[in-house]
Amino acid sequence: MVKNTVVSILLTIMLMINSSCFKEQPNFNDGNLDVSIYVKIKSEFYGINECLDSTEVTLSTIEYDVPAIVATTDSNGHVRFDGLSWANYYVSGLRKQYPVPTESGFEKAELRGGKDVVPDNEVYVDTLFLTGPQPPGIKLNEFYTCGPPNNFYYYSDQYFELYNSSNDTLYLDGIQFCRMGTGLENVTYIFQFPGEPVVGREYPIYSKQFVVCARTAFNHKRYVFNNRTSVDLSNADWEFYNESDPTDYNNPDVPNIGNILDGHYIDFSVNLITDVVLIADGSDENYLDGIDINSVIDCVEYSSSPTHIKEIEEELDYGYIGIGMMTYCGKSIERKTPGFDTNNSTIDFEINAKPTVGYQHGRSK
Amino acid sequence: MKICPISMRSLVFLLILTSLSSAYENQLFQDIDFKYQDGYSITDYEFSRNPAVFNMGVDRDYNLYRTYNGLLQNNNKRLFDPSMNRSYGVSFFSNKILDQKSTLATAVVFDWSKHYDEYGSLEKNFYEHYFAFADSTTGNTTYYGPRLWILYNRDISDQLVSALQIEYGIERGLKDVYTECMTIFRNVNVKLGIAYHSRDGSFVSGIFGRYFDRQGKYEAVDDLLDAVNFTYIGYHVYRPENPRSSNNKSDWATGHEAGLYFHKGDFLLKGIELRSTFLLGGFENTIKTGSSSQPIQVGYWVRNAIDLENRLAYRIDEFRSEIGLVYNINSTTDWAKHGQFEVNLLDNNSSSYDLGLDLKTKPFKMLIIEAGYAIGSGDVEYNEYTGDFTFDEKLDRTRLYIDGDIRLNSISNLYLGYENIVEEPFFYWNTPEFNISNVYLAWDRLFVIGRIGFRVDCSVWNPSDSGQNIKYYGISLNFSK
Repeated sequence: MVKNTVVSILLTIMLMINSSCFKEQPNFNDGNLDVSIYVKIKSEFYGINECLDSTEVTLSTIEYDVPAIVATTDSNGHVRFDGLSWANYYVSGLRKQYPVPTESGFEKAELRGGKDVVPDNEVYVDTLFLTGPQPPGIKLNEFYTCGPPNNFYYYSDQYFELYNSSNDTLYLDGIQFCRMGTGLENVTYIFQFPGEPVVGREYPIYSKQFVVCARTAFNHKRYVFNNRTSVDLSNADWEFYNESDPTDYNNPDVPNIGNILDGHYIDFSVNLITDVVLIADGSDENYLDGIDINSVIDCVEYSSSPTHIKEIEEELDYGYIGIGMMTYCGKSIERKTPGFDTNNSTIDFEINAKPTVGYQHGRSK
Repeated sequence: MKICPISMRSLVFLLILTSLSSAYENQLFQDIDFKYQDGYSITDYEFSRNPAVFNMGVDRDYNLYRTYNGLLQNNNKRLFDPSMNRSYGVSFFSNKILDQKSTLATAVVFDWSKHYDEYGSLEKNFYEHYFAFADSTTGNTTYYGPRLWILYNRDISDQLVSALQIEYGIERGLKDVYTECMTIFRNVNVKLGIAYHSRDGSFVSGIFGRYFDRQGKYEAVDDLLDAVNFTYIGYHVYRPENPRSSNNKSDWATGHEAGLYFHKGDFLLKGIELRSTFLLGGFENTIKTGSSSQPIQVGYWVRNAIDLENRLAYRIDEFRSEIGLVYNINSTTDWAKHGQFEVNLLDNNSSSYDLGLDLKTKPFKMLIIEAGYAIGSGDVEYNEYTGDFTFDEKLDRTRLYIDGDIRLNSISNLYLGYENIVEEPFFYWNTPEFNISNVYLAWDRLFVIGRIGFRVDCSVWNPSDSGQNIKYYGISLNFSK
């Protein structure tokens, strides 16, 4: 009797000790997410608000090693993806041969757009707006920021490539080159081309011309890496130069883009894998309170992180490029084709295996 | 104590056949092995895992020194297995009876192992973790670290015993090629037990509670490029980690376990002995990856398990034999949810039973023979919802073993053993059946300075559909006094 009592007491104590204190199991299993997307043309851009049929919609995620899913919208501009794994997705749309209004009538063009999908319910419903190509002009075409493969933290070979996608000669006079913080009001560095903004005609960029702006116009490839890696920037078109920085190398054969920010004592450089680069026409002389959005010519945000929170206003760049970029990997970020611009870096740019100084990848120099 | 001890072979048999249940044990270290000679019968402590009954099986002071060396040749390797594993270790164990009421046992162990030619895996055992960390290179990884173990056992009254057992271990690992991942594991394991025994020793019952905490840190770095890593969700889908100068994973598991032990001699009839252990436990594991400053929770994993182990033995004194009937039941439930969303990523419901019969006999004065046969079966239902994979199978197994303990003379012993296990393994072994053969040879002799012995082990795992097998060779040297 005593022994049975002992066992009973001990069993009771044991069950009390072990009463579970873990989190509760969810009621749903993964794989039940439905994403429903309505695709429309960006209304304020073209003055119309129309559902887009026959639009190719791609849903992709970088959280799992699964291929992207492609579907086409129905006559209501609707497409639905069923039975998905729960994850953060990116949805992009492409509508070909869509007649967009222009000054001279209608022109058939590609509409593109994309946005993040962060599900909060089993059925996620959202609208994706597509836009047509941005007007041609001076574009940030390529930027090489991550540094070459090396183990001594060398990234002085950064450069930025501009491209004139219009059929006219444009001018670089007074154009501001900015490294941005969070939002347009936060200018981190600001350098400026010589000449008078907007009206100056001294420094042309001809139609379809590439212009290379080097942080340091120097043959990094030869003199630092013995021709093994990096780039030769000794023939760059422009060089960033800060007179306040006595250590900043100045190639006498290359014209300078000078620092105009008081109290800034170093050369123009950007983060290797996460930053915002902006060019503005220079009409906003008071840059201390930020850059006037109407003066912005082009803006690109890049980040290697898939969880990156956008820093610049969506009006300037709907997305960002660079997911997966590594520091010191020797790769550059370049537009898919010169001048291709839908105001969404995620769509417009791609990562290049190696920098192409002064020319477009896939094309000869 | 009038209770017949069951054999060490039976314990091994129990552990092998209930491998599903053992997974919720502390994942870094196994129980400290401080048996000072082969063939030494299992104690109440080893059967019950209850520290309060520790001194019921140990009746004298002794010290044990041991060193071992093992070599695993993995010719049937899975993708993330090493092709070879070499391990070394040294241990020191001391048992001291402080007074009539208390016992103090301590152990210090240092293990070293090296995984050779191992692709991807940054885990010590990739297949034991639902959220395994990996990279894309093949290299060698070294693991090493010390463990400390202490057990204090005290009689509260002449029939009531209490004990506290604490284990602490640190293990470091380092991969020798990119991503040069460094791992650090810290384990704490605390057990508090209490036991009641009758004055004649024919009845023992006890309970223990256990808390354990295991914190693992992984840091994959590179001095040239960013580290590229993957975190597997189950076994079929992985999450590519964002490249960065250092990719980290933290793996924090906390769990608890309670155990009830019951041991009755002369159960119903004289000569019949019943032992039962009932274990109930679980753990939660939070896995985060990414940068060290802003990690992302990728998963949360909970395991609950119940384990019931029984052995009914009948001792026939006139034949100097003992017949045992072993019956085990186990149930393990896993589920893992997404770190950001409230959805199950995978679950695993496994239950199993094992039934065995064993015989221990002493036909001659100088010879003890033990033999046993057991059958087991398990139902496994494993689902990966993200990877869209289901494994719903019944896995059978059998085990046959025979051991011989030969007393060569009054100061030396020879031990021989053979066992054969046929089992249907989990799907990730990619074979329908394993045929496992183990043999061992051990010898010890009493010298003036103490007892010195050695043991040699050899195991071969033959998959039924491949000529490539897994071989293990081990040797250990013991000195006790």
